[in-house]
Amino acid sequence: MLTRREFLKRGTAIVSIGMLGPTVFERALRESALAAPAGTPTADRTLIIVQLAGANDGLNTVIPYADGRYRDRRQTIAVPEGTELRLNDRLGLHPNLTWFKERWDGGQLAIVEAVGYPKPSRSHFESMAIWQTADRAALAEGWIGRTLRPEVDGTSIRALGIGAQPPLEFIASGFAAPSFSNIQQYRIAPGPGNYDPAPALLRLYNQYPSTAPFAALLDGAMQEVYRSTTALQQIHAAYKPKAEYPNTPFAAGLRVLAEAVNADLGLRVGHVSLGGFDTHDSEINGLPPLLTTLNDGLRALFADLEAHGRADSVAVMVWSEFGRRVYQNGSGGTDHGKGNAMFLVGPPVKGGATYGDPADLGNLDDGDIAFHTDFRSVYATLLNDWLQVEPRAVLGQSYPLLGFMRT
Amino acid sequence: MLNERTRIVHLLRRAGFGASRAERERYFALGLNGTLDRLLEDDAIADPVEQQLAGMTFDLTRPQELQRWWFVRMVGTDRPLREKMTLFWHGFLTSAIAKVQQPAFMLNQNKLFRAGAMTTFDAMLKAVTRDPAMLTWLDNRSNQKAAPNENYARELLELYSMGVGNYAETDVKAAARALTGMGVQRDGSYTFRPQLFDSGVKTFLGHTGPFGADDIIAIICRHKATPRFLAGKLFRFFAHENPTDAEIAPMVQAYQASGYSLRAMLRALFSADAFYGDATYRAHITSPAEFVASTYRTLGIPLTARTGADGPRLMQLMGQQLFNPPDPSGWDEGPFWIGTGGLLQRVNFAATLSRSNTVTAAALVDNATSAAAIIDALLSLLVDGAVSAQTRTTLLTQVSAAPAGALPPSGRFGRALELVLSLPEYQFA
Repeated sequence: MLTRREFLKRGTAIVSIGMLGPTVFERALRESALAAPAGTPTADRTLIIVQLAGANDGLNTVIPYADGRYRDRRQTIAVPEGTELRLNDRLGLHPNLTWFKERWDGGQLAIVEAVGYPKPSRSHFESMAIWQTADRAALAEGWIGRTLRPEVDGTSIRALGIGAQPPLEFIASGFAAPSFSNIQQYRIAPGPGNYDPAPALLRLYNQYPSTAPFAALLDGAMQEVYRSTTALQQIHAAYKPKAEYPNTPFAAGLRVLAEAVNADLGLRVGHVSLGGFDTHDSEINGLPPLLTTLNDGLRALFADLEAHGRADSVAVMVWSEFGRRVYQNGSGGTDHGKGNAMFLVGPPVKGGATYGDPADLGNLDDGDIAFHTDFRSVYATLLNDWLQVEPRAVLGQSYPLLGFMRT
Repeated sequence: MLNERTRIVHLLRRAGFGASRAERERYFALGLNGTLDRLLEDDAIADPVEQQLAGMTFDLTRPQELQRWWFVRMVGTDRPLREKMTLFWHGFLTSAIAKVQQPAFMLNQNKLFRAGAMTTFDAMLKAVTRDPAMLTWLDNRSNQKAAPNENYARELLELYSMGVGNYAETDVKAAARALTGMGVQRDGSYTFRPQLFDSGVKTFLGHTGPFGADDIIAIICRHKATPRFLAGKLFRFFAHENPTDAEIAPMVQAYQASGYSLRAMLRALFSADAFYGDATYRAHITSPAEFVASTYRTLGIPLTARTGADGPRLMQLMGQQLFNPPDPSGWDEGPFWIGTGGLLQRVNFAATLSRSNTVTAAALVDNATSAAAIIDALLSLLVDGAVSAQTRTTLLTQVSAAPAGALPPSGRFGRALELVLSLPEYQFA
């Protein structure tokens, strides 16, 4: 499997050399279209992807509290019996996931159990790439980039990533999406005497020879910088959140995604990542604050969206690259495992239910939860039932749909 | 074919953080071979940056000041390859303060990387395996006989020496057992605790014995996958991103012939035609650390307390926080720095710097006042003059439209510098 870097180098090289460059006229036209105010189609369905980076411990998140083996195998790090937030006679949520429990009760939280893929990798980086590309092949592109590439229209903002670097999900030839870690810094700085460097920058990047290294990447990125800074700064300046967001970078990122949803920028997919889940050591101290950050951030997001009357148009998918071992290790933590639980949450989700066969503590795969449901079934369901894109066009083959969306 | 001077400037960009006009003249006088010798055999060089640092007061118990301390080194050192290698090791044998927490540990690891930068690979692996920052970062300090923790063992094989596909899960478990018993004392120093060490027999990569950490490292360094993995890492960092087997072969040979010498591998790399070929020359997208440090260095901006403070903050805005790589595999390099957020911060940095009075036309363009002379001098300094005729015309139009006068913030010089530093061509080294 190629690294992300190798893919990008080759992928963009293919675009630069393999495609005829646009004519001067087309480029000029594109440039002038950029300067025009963006006509923005309404996207009434947005998917927000939340990545729990480092491999979240699914068993301490969605707890099989009624199974004695859970506590036997996790003598010091099991969530104390009775503190879990019980969902049914089998499962309970970590006590910090209070908002998730409310959503379960409201029929808006679905849990897919024992999710994974065949021949699992225990490498964070390989497994993340497999999830983010939905592919093990060389040169694999991000699954969201593949999904949204046909919709690129030069006016809407189809995808938005919160983070210093774009998520691999978005990386595909001919697709560029804004990504940044802080909206405050996301503007082209004007010079003295109202000098606006943007027109010169666009021209210089347009003129960069299309056969030069990374030409498509650089030209596309500068256009996207111009377009998205203009649009996002305008809406950010005018935005009045109707909920109080916690003071965390995660929640600040969710707020920016809420702004884009409420402003009808045509946002189809948002991505935000929360890191630190690689709890090899003293999980009892490390995991709970992260789950609180997750819980409180999403609580604020949906409170804000609901107050703006937009919650019905947003579904959230929470994923992590793999689960962790069933047995705790000697440092009060857990090592890399396999099958894991996923969350789908929001008003469009057919919640209050679990999907897929349960994690089986009695039938482990080399000490790990064996996977029962392929993550690409989750993607296929979201593509087919929510984003309304033929799953096979993105995933290359059919996967069973799970039916966790209302529509 | 690049001429000798262009080769020297290219080498100084890659094997260091670029060079000012005055510095270039000194290396031109040495010739390419003399330059390479000076970069590689730097033990006897008395580095003026030590004196510069002695005159600045840094509180190295604070992470921000630790970053500034390193930034001053990148810009001011007279041993540029050593400093570049320190950055290489930091992105390769990673640790991050987000988890390590102790600035003192990170400082000591940084010193370890600098001191061992060009020793041998087995020495570096042995040192970093005992390094308190690493022991904390990948949890090996709590890896014990009765309770193995395989985090470090796995990354040692996967990320730090061989790469996936060259070992089995059983090798990870065996390595984890061999790596037990290593810890950190209260005073922050390394210690070995024999009672926590698993002294039993292990089978690792086909070898069987009561192995400890150094035995595992010796087996790794002998394995044929290791020099190829390491050579690939070095080649991608210093040359280009898709090396062929033939391109890394001289480095693999140098590793084997020299007892794993890093200096020998680097000499093989910087002496090869591939290093000066089309696939390499001006085709490397700079990381924020390279971009910011080499801009200061090439423009000859002397670091003050204020500019020294700015550098790391700017790198962070562009996506790279020194002492805090995002995960054990380090930063995604190359095109990943050209997301919209990263590119925007680069052009904003160019603008802020060019609109300040930090840089002056006197030092950079010999007080030229015509738009063409200013532009050509800056293009020559910053991108080896290699831009299309169209791009030069656009620059001329823009700069001619700026108010006359050579001084920033509003003059032609400032406008020219801002645009040249923002060029797509300047995103490369």
